[in-house]
Formats: sequence, structure tokens, C-alpha cells
Amino acid sequence: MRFKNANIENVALLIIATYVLYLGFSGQLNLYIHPRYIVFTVVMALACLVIMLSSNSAHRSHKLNHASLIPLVIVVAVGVFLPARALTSATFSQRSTDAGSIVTTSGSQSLDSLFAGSSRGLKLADWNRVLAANDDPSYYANRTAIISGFVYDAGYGNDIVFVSRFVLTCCAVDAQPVGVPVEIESWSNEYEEDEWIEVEGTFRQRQTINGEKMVLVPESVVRIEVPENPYAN
Amino acid sequence: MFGVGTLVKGYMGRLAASASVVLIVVLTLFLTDSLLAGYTLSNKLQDFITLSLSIFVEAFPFLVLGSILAAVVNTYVPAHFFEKVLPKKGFLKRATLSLMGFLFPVCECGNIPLSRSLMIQGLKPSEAITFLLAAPVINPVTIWATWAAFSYDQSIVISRVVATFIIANFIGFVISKKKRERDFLTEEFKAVCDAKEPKELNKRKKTDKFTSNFSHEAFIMIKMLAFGAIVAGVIQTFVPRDLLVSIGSNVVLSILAMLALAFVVSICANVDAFFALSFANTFTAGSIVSFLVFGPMVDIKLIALLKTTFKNELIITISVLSLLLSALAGLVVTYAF
Repeated sequence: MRFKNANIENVALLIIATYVLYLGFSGQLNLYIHPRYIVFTVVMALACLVIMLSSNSAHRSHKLNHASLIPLVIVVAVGVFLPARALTSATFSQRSTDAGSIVTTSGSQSLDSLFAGSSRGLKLADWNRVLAANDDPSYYANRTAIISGFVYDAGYGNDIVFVSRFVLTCCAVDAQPVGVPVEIESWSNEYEEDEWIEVEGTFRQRQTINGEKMVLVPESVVRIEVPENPYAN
Repeated sequence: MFGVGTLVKGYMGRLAASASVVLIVVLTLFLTDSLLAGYTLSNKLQDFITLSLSIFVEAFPFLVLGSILAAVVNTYVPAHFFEKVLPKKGFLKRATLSLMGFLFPVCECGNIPLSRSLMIQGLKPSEAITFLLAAPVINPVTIWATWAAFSYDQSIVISRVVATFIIANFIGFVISKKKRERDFLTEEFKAVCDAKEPKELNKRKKTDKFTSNFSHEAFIMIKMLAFGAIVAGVIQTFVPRDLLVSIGSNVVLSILAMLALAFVVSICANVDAFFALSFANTFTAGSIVSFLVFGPMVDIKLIALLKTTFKNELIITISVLSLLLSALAGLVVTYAF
């Protein structure tokens, strides 16, 4: 029994370290944590793997309650057997927050400096901030936006849909949604929620159920694959 | 000769077994990634899986780091070392321990294996808990991250550190009033503390002790982490967060909302300042401080991890006291600054 319990510990840690390393090297850690923690996570998983591989110890016996292993078995089995996926519109709808407060990578820059150069480089989360701060149509004249995200029905009717992403600060747990309204006539005939699209266009003022809003009027809408980093970091 | 041969053979056998486990896992991951590429689950179920795995994967490296440090303390630091170097008086001793995060800048989940190793070394539960509550915040990494996030309002950084120091020491003091502090420990952990180790170990034996200690600590923590991740995943998926966030600017309600958020979100102290920053526009500064003080002390994931070591009675005491005192800290910040 002693041997067995020590073995369960070793095998479990080997599996988990290998799983985390696999996520790291296949680029899938992006789906769970912010890119700035990836190196730390991979290094620690590697350390765990090396310690386990160099382990040559006959363990003290530890009492092991097998029922207490159930959650770990579930988590590891789901992690290993099901492909990793990004968060979906289901989480968007229960986390809608005050969009203007979302912090993005360029969060420390003032809005005007974001807008100083070409607007083509601005990302979804940047536009989200700009829209929250300014609703003067002249501000958006001749400013082309190119954004990509998943389709989200924010309840704006059949002709306005949101192109959305999540912003992570640490991991998927703290993901906060951002979205930009896009005018696509009868969008639900053409697109489904959670489908990924890239939209190029300019902002115009439109009457919506939430009053007058700046809405992206597309010149082109293209279906795309889920990007490697699906979050707006 | 025979002895060495068996030893090498034993080790090589184990290494081969370990390597095959790694290989099987990698192959399985490759296979499921390609075979199940097109599968879909319902959005709710998929997000529950993503959120639970995200908590698990995020905390994993911190637990590994904490378990490595704990194994180092258990293996290489002489018994009762900390008792010899720390001040003798209860209050001063706990105050010093609450600054030990500068030596071990690990977040709260990594600190649990570390505080276990401190108790194995001979420290009392009240002392280990003072360290456990204070160190995740009072360390260079967290202070830097909080400062970076709230550079426009230094009072938040100072309030966070000062409030954490006071609350951790107060709770340590309350626990130290119990006559037999050992009664707060689970039976399993008491047995670990009482296990007698041979005094002198040669170098190889020490390495063995280190690896077995590491794997044991890491395994206990990760087992409970999985449980905490599932519970937190369920709550995250099914409790609408916009309810909490819509409360916003009311002084008392905003504090309660941020305390609830800290409990539910369960993210590490080293990184939570950036998360809190995104609420800074809509929430009062006091409620942000409550979040930053309470989150590293108690949350869903931590309660699961604390259960490896402490009895429920103590976990409830810590939770209630830190909740009330963090709320108080939020009120003080709201009205004093």
C-alpha cells in the first residue's frame, strides 16, 4: 500500500506537469491565463517535472482517502481529454460591466494619444474605450476601424450585433467582456452567436434601443478562424 | 556492488516508468486535440470547464513554487531554526513573521505549504497564520504590482499594506489566546508534525527527502485545488456577476459587493491589483481596499486549501474576522481619505 500511495502522488504530478507544459508549448495556455504569466507557469511545470523524474524515494506511508481524489481525477481527465476552448457568449451575458472602466494594454494612454496616429491599428478594446468616452460623430469622421471578435447578441435587435472579446488581467476567471456594436442587416440570417468575424468600416451615429449610439458600419465582414489568442489583451 | 547495482536499476526502472507516463499523456493530448477538434458542448458547460481549468492552471505554478520552498525548509533548514532566530515575545514574533513575505514572495496558495513547513519546524498555528495572512500582500512582488496598478492613488497601496499587517496580527493574537493551539490542526497534519525524522541524513538521503516532501506537499495542495476550482467554476458560471458590479458607488454596498467578489473570484494576491483597477472607476476607493485586503486572506480556493491543515472551527474564525476587519478597513479609507 505504501508503494501504491507514493506512486499515485508521483503519477498525478507527472500527468499534471506534462499537461501544463503541453498547454504552454501548443499555445493553449493563452486560453486560460494572461500571456505575462506563461513563462512563469511553464518554468514551474518544468521544475515539477524534473523533480518528479529525479525522484528516487521510498515514501513515508500517507493515509490516502480515495474519495478525496475524485475532484482531481475529474479536473485532470477533462483537461487531458477535452480540447481547450476560449470563453463564450454565455459568460459575456452574465458579466456585462461598465465598458468604459475596462483596462486594456493601452489603458494607461490617454484616449487622444490613442487616436493621434492611424486608427487602423486600434484594437477592439481600444475602440470600446473610445466609444465609452466620446459620442460626438465628428470625432469619428474618416477613422477606419478593423476589429475582430465573436458575434454576440446584446439585444439590440436584428440589425445591430456586437463584435466581442474578453479582456483578461490574470486568468479567464477575471475575464471581462468588451464589445463594439456593428450594423449588419438581419445579422442572424447570416451569422450565429460565437462565430468569429473581422469587420472593417467606419463609425456612424444610429438610433438604437438604448438611444443614439456610435455604431460601426462595415465596408467588409469576413468570417475568420478563432485566433491563437482569442482575448483582447 | 550489488547494492549500487540494485539502486541504479531501481532508479532507472522508475525513470523509465515516469518517462512512459509523460509520453502517454503527450500522445493522448495530441490525439484528443486532433480527433475532437470539432466537438461542441453547450456554452454554459464549456465555460464552466474553461473557468475551472483556468483557476487550476493559474494556481498550479504558485503551488509548485510554494511546495519547493516548503520542501527546502523541511529538508535543509535545521529543526527549530526559526524559533531560535525570531524574537521570543509572542507579539514581536508574530509581527516579524508577518514581514517574512520579503523572504518568501509567494502568493497565498503557495504560502499554505510554506506555513505548514513552519509549523513542522515548531511554530504555533497562531504564528503560522499571521504569516499566512500577511505574507501574500506584504512582499515586494505584490507591493510592486499594487503600486503599478494604482500609481495615481498611493493611499490605496499604503492602506492595503497597513490594513493587512494590522488584521493579520490581530487575528494571530486572537488565535494565540487559545490554550491548546494544536487542537486547531487536523489529525492528518498533527501526524505529519509528530513524525520523527532521523537526525543526520547523508546528501543522497537529503535529496530523497526533498523530492518526497515536495511531491507530498504539492499533491495534497493540488488535490484540494481541484476541488476549489470546481466549486469556484460553478459559482462563476451560474451567479451573474453584473448583479454585484451594478451596485457601484454606494459606500456600504460597494464594500459588501467587492468583498463578495474577492471571495468568488479567488485570484492570487500577486496579480489581483490589476483586476481591482478595472473597478476603480465605478467603485469607491474604500471598497477597492476591502477587496485587496480580504481577497488574499480568504476565498473559495483558499478555504479548500486551508482544510488540508486546519479544522473548520479555525477556518470559520479566520474567515469571519478577516471579512469584518476588511470591511472596517474599507470604511476607514472611505471616511479618512
